Amino acid sequence: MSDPLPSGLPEIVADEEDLARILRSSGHFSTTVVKGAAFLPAKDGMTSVIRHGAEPRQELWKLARAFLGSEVKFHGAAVCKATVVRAQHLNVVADEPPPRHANVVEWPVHADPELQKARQKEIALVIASQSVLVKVEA
Amino acid sequence: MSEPVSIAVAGYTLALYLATRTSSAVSREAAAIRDAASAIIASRDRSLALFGAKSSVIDRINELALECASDGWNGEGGVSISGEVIDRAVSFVRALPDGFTLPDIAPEPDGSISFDWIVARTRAFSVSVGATNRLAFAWIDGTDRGHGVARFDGDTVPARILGGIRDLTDERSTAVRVA
Amino acid sequence: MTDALHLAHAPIIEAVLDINCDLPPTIDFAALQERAKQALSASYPIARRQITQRHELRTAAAVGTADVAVREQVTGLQFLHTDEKQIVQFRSAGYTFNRLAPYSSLDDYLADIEWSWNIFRELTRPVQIRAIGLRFINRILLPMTGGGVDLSEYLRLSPQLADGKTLEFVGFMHQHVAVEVATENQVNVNLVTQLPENDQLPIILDIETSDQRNRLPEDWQGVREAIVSLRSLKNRVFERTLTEECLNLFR
Repeated sequence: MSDPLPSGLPEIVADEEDLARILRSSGHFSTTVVKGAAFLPAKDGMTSVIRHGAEPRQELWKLARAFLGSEVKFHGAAVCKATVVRAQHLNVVADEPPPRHANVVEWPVHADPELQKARQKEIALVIASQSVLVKVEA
Repeated sequence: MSEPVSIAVAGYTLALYLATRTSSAVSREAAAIRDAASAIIASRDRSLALFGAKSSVIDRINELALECASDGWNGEGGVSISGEVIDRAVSFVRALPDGFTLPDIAPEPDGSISFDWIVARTRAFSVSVGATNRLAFAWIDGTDRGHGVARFDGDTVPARILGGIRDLTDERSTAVRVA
Repeated sequence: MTDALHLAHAPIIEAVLDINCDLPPTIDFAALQERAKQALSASYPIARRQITQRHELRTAAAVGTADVAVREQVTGLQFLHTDEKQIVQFRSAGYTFNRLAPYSSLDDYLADIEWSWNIFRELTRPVQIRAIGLRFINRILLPMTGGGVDLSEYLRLSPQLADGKTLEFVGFMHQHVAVEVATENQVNVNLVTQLPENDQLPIILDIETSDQRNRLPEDWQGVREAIVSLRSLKNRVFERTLTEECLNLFR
């Protein structure tokens, strides 16, 4: 059994763990719904998440600020279970520091970049549909 | 007496807009057609009644482009939204049939713009407009789901994309027969 | 000009044939240019590139300054006859053949079209034909008397003023789009006036027909049949847009 991570969390992300995807654009959500674009992977093929649920809220925002730094504005978070991600044949792997940080990995790849994007969009839509929107209070 | 002519009303203003686009014709007279059509389109665009809704979406595109104007806009290497993507996104909005339900938009990490028709949490259709003329799209409808790629010529939204959106949003178009 | 009418003084300014295709995503016109130039040089010795230049201005940190970026890309190739009246274009949307006045008959150009289209196919490897378009732009000079002209004498489609006694036309643009039910070919008709010159009122009659069916690029027979069908539609629309009085101007 491996040592816990600096945050104290186990290295293996459990299926029932909450994952929070920080929403960096006002366009990534509507009144009550998270959009698929919020979950699409970065150039490195990974989607960054925080192993934390909606509560306590201030702790979540503190973790978000620690990860993003002071320059990047954020608007809220989309929270879902790790099992939702794994059901789409992706995986979640811990990646600290920063504390409680993890990556969603194993997004589909294809030689045709647009087809790859389309597959990823479909998966992102499904994950978004099973996420809860948590907005930063005004 | 002239023969009856059937007219499919897919959007008369689309036909006029097509006349404003750079075309393969090279004569001065072709340019004159373009200029005349452009003047009409410009006049129409100033009308809130005729173009207001699309104009709002285009404004939102420009807002997002400002929000994502620099590389790294999302704190994780997000690609800035380029002028080319903005132009293609605006063309996409213009190409939507008149009166069609208009989408929400969102930026994507690769610098594309996503057009989203969200009926409910589990019913959505999403199209990405990016650096090429090939549009990646995906949809979910309960447990049904799918994805695909379609080419956008800058003037006409691909039929399979319009059809997919209509299936989700229950949009219908009507052909009008004129004698 | 309608080929069936064989008008002696046809008002055609430009004829355009577009064969719009899906090209491979990796197409590079800059890389193709030399090979295309060599293949077409016998008939089209003049070669030009079409370049799209994109200028982006972004406000910079320092007040009153801007970062400027200019990006250039070859987006098409043009190959011209020596007299520049006949052009073949390789575009990102497909192939185009342009014939400027003087124009004889489409039949006179079909062999050249087939030959240059085959060169386009060989070099660009199109995946699918999406649409075929045939467009004729005509410039008709209507004689004016007393500084005016009765459009209804020459045009079967002419606009009417709300009050012909107190209002006079300065100009108009008319457009309509129709579909030929039997073939599903579409026709887009534009009528635009220009400023009078030498006691004549120039009117541009632009008839654009299109066949939106998908075809395989190697199916020249199918492409040829589509072109002939579109020409037939264009001819009928031309004849029925103009009165006999107008057609007599070209005889």
